[in-house]
Amino acid sequence: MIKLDGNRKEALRYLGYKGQILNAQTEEQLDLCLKEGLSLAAPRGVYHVFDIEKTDKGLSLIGTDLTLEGENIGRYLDGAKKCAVMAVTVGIAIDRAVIKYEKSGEITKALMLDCVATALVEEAADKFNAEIDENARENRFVTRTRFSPGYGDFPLDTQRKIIPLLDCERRLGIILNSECLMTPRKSVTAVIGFFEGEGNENGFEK
Amino acid sequence: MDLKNDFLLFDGGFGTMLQQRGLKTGEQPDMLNLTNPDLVRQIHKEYVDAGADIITANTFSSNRNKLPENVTVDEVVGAAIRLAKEAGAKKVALDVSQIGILMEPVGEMTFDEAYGYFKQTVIAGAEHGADLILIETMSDMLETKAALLAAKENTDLPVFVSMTLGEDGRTFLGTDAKTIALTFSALGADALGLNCSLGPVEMLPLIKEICEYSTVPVLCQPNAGMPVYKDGKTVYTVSVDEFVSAVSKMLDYGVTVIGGCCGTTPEYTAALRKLISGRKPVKREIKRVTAITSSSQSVILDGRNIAVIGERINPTGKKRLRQALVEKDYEYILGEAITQTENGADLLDVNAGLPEINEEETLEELIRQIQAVTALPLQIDSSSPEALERACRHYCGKPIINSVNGKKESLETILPIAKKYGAAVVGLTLDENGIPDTAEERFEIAEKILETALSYGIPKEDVLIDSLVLTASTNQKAVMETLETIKKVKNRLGLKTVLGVSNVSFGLPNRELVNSTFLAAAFGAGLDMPILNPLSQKYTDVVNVFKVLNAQDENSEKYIEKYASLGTTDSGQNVKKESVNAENSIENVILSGRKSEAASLTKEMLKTLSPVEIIDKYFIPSLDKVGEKYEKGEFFLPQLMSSAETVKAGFDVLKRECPASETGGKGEILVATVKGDIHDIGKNIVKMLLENYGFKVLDLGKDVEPEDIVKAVKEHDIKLVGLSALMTTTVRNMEKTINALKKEVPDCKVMVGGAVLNSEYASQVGADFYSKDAAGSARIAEDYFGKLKLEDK
Repeated sequence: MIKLDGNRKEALRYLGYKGQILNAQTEEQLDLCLKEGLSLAAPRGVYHVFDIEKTDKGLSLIGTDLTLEGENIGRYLDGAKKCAVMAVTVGIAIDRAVIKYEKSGEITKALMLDCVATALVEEAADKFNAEIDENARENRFVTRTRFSPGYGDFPLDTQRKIIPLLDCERRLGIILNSECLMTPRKSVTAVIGFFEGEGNENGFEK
Repeated sequence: MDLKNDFLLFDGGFGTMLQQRGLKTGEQPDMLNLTNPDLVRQIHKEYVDAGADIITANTFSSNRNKLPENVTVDEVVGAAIRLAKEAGAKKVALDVSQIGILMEPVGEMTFDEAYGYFKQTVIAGAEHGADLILIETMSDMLETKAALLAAKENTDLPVFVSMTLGEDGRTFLGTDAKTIALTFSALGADALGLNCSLGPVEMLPLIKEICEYSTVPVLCQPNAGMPVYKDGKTVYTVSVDEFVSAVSKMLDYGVTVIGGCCGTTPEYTAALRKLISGRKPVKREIKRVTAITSSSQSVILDGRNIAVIGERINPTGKKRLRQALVEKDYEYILGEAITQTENGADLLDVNAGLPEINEEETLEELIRQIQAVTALPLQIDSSSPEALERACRHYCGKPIINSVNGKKESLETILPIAKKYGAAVVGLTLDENGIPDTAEERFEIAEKILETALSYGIPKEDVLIDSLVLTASTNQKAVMETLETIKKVKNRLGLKTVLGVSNVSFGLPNRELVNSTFLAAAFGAGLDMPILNPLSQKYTDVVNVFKVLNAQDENSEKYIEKYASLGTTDSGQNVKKESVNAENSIENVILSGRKSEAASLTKEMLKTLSPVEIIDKYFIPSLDKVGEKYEKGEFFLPQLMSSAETVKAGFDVLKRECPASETGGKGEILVATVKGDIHDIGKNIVKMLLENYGFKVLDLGKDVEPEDIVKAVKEHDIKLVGLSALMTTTVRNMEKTINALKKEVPDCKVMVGGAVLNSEYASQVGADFYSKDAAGSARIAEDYFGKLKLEDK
């Protein structure tokens, strides 16, 4: 179970905050959105660890039909023995609340809640990621900061394989649209490399 | 199949069996019907040998969206059913599950699109000889309803419905066990229940609840426990013995259809076979209640409980709502839905009966939109059978129809709709001869309505009676007859009652006092569901007190919470009034984003200024200041938006008080988020700002096809289009849209914006203007339409 605390500072960052003077009204609205976001969030995650091998096309995850393509992911996983594939979501209730505010003209609140939710899913992903790091440590691996489809030349299309691979539709309720965008919108998928060698708390060190 | 007197045993997990045989994870099992038929047949055969009555064909993903393009739904489904039969299955179930596209409002799939996908699969299933249809592992109630209707309307096969609940007892989309039971019993499923996600132990309390409320046989197919991730694999750890002992308890609750889901194997099936042989189904005590549901809530009228129906979404006598309906201003209407929800309504009445609009189309749209913003169940209110049918069809849950009456024609057209869509129905006590004077005559009509409803197969609990109130000022003696009718209907027929309260006071002074006194009297007579304005304090007081008196508000908790502080604090009357010099302070209000003060200030200003003056001399200069502060980094986005919302609140006053020509004459702009992109918050901010600057904005929403944009531009003679795209991947759809516009309507200009764009990229895709933020788009529009005007001169 992932437990969320909410992160006001991050939410403000997503809102484009750069140290302006906040009036009482904005502060109050933000606090309400933080509270609402936390009450609506239903964080869940799934991950699997796979052995990997190099093929002509890229890095193939053994026992699956997934090959990771692109230079960036290749570089990211260079020297990795295994990799974890993870998916995390905070659920659809927040999406619905954002839509509710949008539709009824409460658009500031909609944007605030949306940014609060972005901060929440990142927090959920970080906490879930930490569990995976723990798993890696137990097996004497060190990990590197996660890498998601859509970063650099790692194709967003990879989602089409990751979602069924982790059975996300049944386990997490994540569905892709025609452009590979996930719903619930506040969901994250990522690959985490497992490396042999010395590591520290912060992850990978060569 | 006699599910009352016999058990029915389904097979177990299919994916689990494939994994044991080394299928790569992520591969689509349905394709194996064509690529490895022997394997599929073999798995089915093991379940047949283990004693399963029903083999579930390997068609979980066999719909047009999920299958690869190089195969047809028909060939995959056909092969799947054939393989199950070849394995010796006594009966074969066509397996139907989620299409794989999320439904509106969060996703893109409409009810009709979902229906189309399901229709194709169920027709193939029926043609290839399936014996029944199993709709399973469903999360979305409306998608499930589309599947059920597609199955019932296009085949004669029995249809079983099964949804999947998480540990919180709800589907991913928020539907709970009780609501599933109430809704799909009413919609005519042949059996209903739960499968997947949970193990049998976690499922027990949920299945128990379903057994209490389902009026049809209950099915259950749990996983072999909760999934555990171990040594690189997902495993299920509940043993056969544990599984069987939990299912045995379910049989005690009255479950008759059993089987297994993920992690179960033929071993489990064989054990279940052993469990049921020699046992007889338990007869359930079903709670037959009057219930109205939405996707996530059930309003149940149990005993003396009352429920309030909010009356405000009905144009009769409401000028502003009328205008909103005509102009398709859903924002206003949805605001009404939300306010009533927040003010304690239990259900909302929805009526779109206006001669100048297309009622069928509008009512359906309202139902869809309102269900996106409130979880309250709805009462669908219309005198048009066509509008009622369409609205009931697209409604998510079990609605109430308002209304049928004692006229033969009404009974014959409305009751079949209620039956088909599992709706409860309000019967008005009037017939061909009008509204009778006496309670006894009204009672007779109620009795006739009940009898006819029963003859259509509508259960008694789903018939509610409205004994109609006339105005006390003209029909003083009739008021008591109304209350008398309620008593008779309750005592002699045992039906629940509904009553619109507000009519009684028409033509009298201090209407709220009359209404609330009458409401109390009606509660006394036994009224269950008043239709009233939940924003009226007097009504709310009566309702809150009555909920204490009928013991619905347990330990008077809510009452005490609301009223305990009364008398010690201000009554709320002395709201600060800043009537002095409204013009001077509007700028302050806008700059600090104090939305709630904008309306009264604008009203004040209208006494001395014209709308155009208010817009040009006050709103726009203030907005410009806000824009400047934003540019300089003194304000950040939420502050800019709060200011924009504040101006909008002022604008709403202008629109309400003045003809459209005085408020939106600067030019019309179309805005849309391009095909494939579902992020439209940026576009919505732009829209609001443009409106604030006095432009008329036509908003086509998100995920819009290029053709639809071109069509609308032509239809409305649009000269400026604003397009938004947030993703690199959707910018190419922006380019497509611009190309189409340039080709078809070359004199229309396009401005673009969105996170991944910059001015260079914007000109590459062919845009005329690029704006980096919402404030910029307003400047572009001002310049552009300013130049157009000069050219005209």
